[in-house]
Amino acid sequence: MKKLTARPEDRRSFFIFISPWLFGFVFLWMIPISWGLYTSFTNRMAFTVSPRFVGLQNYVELLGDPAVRYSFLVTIVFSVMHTTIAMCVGFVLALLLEKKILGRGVFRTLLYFPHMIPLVAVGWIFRIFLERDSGFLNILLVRSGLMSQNIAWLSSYPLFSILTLSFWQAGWSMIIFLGGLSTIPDSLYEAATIDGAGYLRKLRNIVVPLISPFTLFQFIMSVIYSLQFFVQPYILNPRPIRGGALMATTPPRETFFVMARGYFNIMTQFRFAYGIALLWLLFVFIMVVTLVFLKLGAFFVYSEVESKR
Amino acid sequence: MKIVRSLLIVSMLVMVAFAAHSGGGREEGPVTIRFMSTEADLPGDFVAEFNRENPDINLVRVEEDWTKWMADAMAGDAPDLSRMGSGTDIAYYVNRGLLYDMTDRLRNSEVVRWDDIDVMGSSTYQYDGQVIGQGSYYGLPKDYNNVGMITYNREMFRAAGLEDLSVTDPITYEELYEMAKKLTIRDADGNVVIFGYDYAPGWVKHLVSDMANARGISIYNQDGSAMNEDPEARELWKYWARFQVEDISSNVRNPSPGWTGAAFQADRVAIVQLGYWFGAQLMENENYETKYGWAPTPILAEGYPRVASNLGATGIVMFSGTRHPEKAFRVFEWYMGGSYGIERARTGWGIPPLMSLAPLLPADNEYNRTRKAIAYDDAQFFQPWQASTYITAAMYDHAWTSNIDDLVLGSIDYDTFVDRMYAELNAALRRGREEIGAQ
Repeated sequence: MKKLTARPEDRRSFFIFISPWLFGFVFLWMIPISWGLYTSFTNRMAFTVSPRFVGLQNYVELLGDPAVRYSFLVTIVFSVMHTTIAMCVGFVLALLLEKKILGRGVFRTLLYFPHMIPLVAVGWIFRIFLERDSGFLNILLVRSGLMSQNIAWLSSYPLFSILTLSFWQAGWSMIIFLGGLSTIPDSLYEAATIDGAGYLRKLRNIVVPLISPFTLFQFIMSVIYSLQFFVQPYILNPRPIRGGALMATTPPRETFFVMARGYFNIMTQFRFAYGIALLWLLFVFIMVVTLVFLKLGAFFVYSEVESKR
Repeated sequence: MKIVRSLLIVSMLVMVAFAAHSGGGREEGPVTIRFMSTEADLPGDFVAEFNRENPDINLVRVEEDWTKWMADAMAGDAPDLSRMGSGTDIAYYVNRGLLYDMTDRLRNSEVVRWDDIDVMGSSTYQYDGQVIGQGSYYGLPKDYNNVGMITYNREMFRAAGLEDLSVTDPITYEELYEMAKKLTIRDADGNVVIFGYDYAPGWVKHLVSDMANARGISIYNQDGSAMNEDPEARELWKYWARFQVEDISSNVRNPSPGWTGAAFQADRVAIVQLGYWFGAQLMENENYETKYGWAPTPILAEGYPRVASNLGATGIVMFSGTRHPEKAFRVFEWYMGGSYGIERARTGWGIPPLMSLAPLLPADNEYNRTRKAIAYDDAQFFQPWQASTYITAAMYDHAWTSNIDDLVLGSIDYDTFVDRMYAELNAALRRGREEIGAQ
């Protein structure tokens, strides 16, 4: 058994200082989560008279529920597209703004700025932007002659509507890539130039491998984030929103992502156990996806630390 | 071990402190009554006035959020009073023991007199455990409306060559459909510029219920465990779907620029069924007196009885777990029959739940006199909507909205649309029965 090296008074101080967090962790985190996990194995609705343990029944039902399977499918499709767009746009922007051009700081701030606007506000901006009759996108496209008539983007292309947000959120990706690019020593570029390498060659052989840890980090974070998209499908719902009742109607099928379906099951249908089981299923899915990408990343990511294997 | 013991002691002390703070002890000073409502239906200046006149009560408005209410109710700590957007779910909540039975207090109240309650408009807040509209009162509407009443744009009627509608004799629903079809206008690209008629998805179940009441059938099977599969019941849902399929109403192909009322005010819709209250909203528009017309709730067809409803009516309910029922009821009395109730009646945003307040409704011009007369005429034919005690009204709305788009876009036919709706509703009914232990 490993011997504790800290002095008793240090240990006491440690536990006293950490106790507020520990209290919160146990009572506000562990207990609700454990309750949620247990609930997912019951038949509990909002006000079930006598909930009973039903084992894996909710999970089995979830896997056989075509609506849930479809939600997973559209969530994955969206996640792939969102991650690709956000990272590609972010990478290109980072390459452009890495150069010492006039107003570089201003552009960096402007491009990152949308990321600081609250999600709900961004959603409303895009709802207005994409509206069929008075939306700026339609006005722009029709007046410039690129389109002959207005398009109902929100209802005809709901997935596209939400993906437009991905462009806006590329600022975060840009900042991470800029950080990655700044770690590449100038000497490598100079050596490559002397060896006759062009821009694309340097990009392929120096930039891409050396920023690969940043790419993997972003990729995983973006996938985790996009698999949990929740409020945006409600705001960009093509149906009119009356008053503050944002969550009163469900999003179209194409954007009825897993989190939104979980909310719908719990808060609209009052199917507590079923909805919570769905969220646990999503959690396991995200964990598996993350682990797989982390393992795969080991083969592709450049590291200066020598592997112990 | 010492450390663990210390931690346990600290945790217990914290929990004791929390318990003491959360109201375990005797209260001193004014009792706080939490009232969940929108600002519009419980303005701050009226709350301040109430608190000045009632020093033993501290009335606090809580922002309306029914999702939070459900969570609070599960924890036994929902606000004492709450504004319910519609009394359609009274039976659902009562069967789960969440609402306070106000009957005895209402019988003995001197502010809300028992014989002054407008039973026609308030009955959706009554439930006897079996039938809605009978038995105990679990609240009262803050005001009610005949939501089937027709409001139409007279300028659009004239442009389409249609006569003004009678203010006393209702048209049939088939006539409504024909008129709406004629009033629908498209642009050169085929996009709908003016919808002949429009409704919110949440209205459909009520209008279907009215039609079923007129026909003397139920929208459920005999024991209420599933939807009624009889063709005449299925036909009612198809009637309303037809408006969207034929682009007479807004849909996925031709979305509305806003909710039904706003679109009507913006001259994008020719006919709506929203009720008496909408007249007050329209008074914001120029020339409202001559521009808009009114007509009673339509009848199903010639020979069928008149049936109207109030869509449940927005009202006030008391949480069954309130710790201060007496003081909460005093607030309720003030809200219904006190200074705020009187002020609300004067605005004409709804018919007051107390008959003695009816003379206060605006009747200064023909426009206001007409809508008031039609409202009271319709109210004589009110029937509560055919709510299920097993599911909330929101289930119907979801079953409708999640399937109507496929019908509009042609990927399913009318029967498949109804089948899909029924499948969702039947599953929800089954779960709801299981929830409350119904056999």
